[in-house]
Amino acid sequence: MFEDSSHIAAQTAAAATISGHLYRASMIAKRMALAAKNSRAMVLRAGSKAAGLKVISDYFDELADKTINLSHIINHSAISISQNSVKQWRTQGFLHNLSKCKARVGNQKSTQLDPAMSIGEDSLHELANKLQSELSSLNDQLLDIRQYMQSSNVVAVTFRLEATQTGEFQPLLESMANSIDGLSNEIKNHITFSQNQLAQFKVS
Amino acid sequence: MDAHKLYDEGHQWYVFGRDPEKPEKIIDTNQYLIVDGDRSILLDPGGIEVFSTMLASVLKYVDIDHITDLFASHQDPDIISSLGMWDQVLPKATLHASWLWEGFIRHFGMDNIAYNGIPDTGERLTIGNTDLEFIPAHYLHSSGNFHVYDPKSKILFSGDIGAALEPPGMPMFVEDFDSHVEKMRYFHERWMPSNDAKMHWLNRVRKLDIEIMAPQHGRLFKGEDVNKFLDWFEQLNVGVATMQG
Ligand SMILES: [Fe+2]
Ligand SMILES: [Fe+2]
Repeated sequence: MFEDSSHIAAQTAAAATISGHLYRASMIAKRMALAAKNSRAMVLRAGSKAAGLKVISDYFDELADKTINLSHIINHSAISISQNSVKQWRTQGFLHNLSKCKARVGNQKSTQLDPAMSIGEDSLHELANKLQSELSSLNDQLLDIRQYMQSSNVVAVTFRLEATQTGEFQPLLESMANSIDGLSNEIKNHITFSQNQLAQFKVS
Repeated sequence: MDAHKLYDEGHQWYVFGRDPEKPEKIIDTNQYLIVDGDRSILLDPGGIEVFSTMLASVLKYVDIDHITDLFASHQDPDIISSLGMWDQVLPKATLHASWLWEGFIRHFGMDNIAYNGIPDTGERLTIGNTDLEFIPAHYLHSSGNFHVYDPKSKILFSGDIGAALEPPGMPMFVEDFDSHVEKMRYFHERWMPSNDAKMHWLNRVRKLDIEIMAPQHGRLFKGEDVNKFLDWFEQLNVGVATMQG
């Protein structure tokens, strides 16, 4: 159980990496939210010609907000996972040192170290359990964001279709659809990267 | 790790050091243990790399429940980076160190142990029946720095003052002061920042009756060598890094 510290180090780094990527995803989501606001303004200017776009741009706006919120939450859970990993890392180091010490002192003194040993082992189990539940909710959250981004891709397609009805506004609305699409894909890349990082965690 | 008993009249002083198992590039340190009945205090318990050896060595002389206090002369890693480990093995202990360093020392990991911040003017602590004095040694070399004086055994634990850098396996005590000086010179010139602080400390310490001066690195000073050290330190110009152009 103790020889695993390089694995815990990798785990700590993976959690911190996820946190970093989700931060960047949340920055992109902010740009998406701005794009959503712009598209709504454009739709209003296009008036009756773009009536069908109104619903889509509202939905898109909502999607962007939800993405920002969720990526903040994920960023926090990733930090908490990373802290948990550091605690496990430290506790394992402690148990490793303690067992080295136990091997060196006589039986009677070794017994004196048993309470500290079992407290350390208990807290390691507790941390491992907590990590399991944090990992599974992180996994769910990442899937949710991926889902949002898929919807956002669909929104972009519909937007582009509807834009063909808007005459002189078409090129502008089309470029807006492209930017929605592009930003969603950027976020998706961060999510894919984070999901791959999650694979670093040994699920026991 | 070697252990020597320095004093044993009612209470005991032990010094641990010359650790053959420590990784090569780590500076060798002396750790001290004062025991009085069912209480004891570890002075400068050491770095994380020596923790397991240190714990095993200490348990030769005391039971784990009897290690009630820790003292850190200052915040350096060779002094107290093992804190996160002691914190888990001695959850009820108290760490005594300068109030100034609390927020920093906690970075070594301290969930259980209590922190007693020593005020700048120093403080007394009674371990069993033994009265100890935390003697201010600020800026020597750390901005919040204390030594420990035990008036009964007449031992002064002097932290980094009196330190010498020597190859492994050297004896515990200084045998020839004059030849020992060269092993201390650069350490003091470079690590100790202030001649003012030095004089302040010398004035304070010259008033104490000292039989053994026990630094955190290198050999201990006994009898006349203590005064020889104080005289030598007084004439030494310290803080040399800023004078090198
Ligand atoms: Fe130091
Ligand atoms: Fe030191």
